[in-house]
Amino acid sequence: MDMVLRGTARGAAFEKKAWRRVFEDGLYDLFLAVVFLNVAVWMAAAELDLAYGETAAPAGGVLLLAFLMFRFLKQRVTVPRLGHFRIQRERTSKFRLAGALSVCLLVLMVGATFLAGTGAFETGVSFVVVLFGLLALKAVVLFSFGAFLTGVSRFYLYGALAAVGMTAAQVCIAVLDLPEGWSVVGIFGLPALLMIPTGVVLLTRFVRAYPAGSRGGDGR
Amino acid sequence: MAGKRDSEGAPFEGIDRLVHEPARLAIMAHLAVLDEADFVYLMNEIQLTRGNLSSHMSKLEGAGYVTVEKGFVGKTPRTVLSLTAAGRRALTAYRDVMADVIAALPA
Repeated sequence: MDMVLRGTARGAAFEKKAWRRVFEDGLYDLFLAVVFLNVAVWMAAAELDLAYGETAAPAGGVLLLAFLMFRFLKQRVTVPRLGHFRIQRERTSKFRLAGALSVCLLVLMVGATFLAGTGAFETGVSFVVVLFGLLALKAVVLFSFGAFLTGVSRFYLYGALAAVGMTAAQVCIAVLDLPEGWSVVGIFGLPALLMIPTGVVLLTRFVRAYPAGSRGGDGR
Repeated sequence: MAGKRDSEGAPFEGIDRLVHEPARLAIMAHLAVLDEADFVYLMNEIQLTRGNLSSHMSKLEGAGYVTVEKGFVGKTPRTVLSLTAAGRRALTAYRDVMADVIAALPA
């Protein structure tokens, strides 16, 4: 009997409602925007002849700062207004699996890209294009998967923008004769441009919908 | 209580009245998909006053359907609720009984 309620099919509406609350404050959008912009800027800097090593430390610093800021805002802005809750572990397992697979795939792709850069593969540029295509596809699949499971429809749009960014970058590369690395700028940069205003609007709406202290305190 | 049937008709007697109350049912339904939730979250979700939620929380805790842990985060008090195994069983049984009741209702 217990398993019936634990299954993901049961209580799906309540689960999606809880997921919507997770993303309601827009902080994930803003954090993801910083991560994506960071990758885009890092790659753009590399294409502008700055060595990866030179820009790695500032990029890492920005990511760390963004993560700390995200945690701080969640604790100081979201939890006092919305309350604390934790979605059932069984219901988050698909995300953890998808996340782990995604990281593994990304590591493989980055490794293969560097190898391609050193001339290890005879196919050269076309190989890199395929890799970047896979990167865009991965973004589309992951965002769509997230949107499907959580019911947060704007994730579909982020995924679509990653694909549009890849396509637009390929057109620019062909027309302006740019290096292939600009594909990454398109894949990560375009969704980030939507994530920033979306996150700001959601955060503003959230703070207005849940004024500080309006529902504060607990049962004691 | 679940499973008892009215010999003549729908299984009304099988309805667990503790779960049947809408506010308590909402609390249990929300907690069923969560490992835990605090008082503020449930107040927001179910739109209950502090006193109302507190009263329903006590009843559910008394029946062994939820556990209530009171603690502090910094200087802020936090009351965290989670559904017990008995609570999950009660909710499942309630859903099954209600399905029978609805099926037996005249059109």
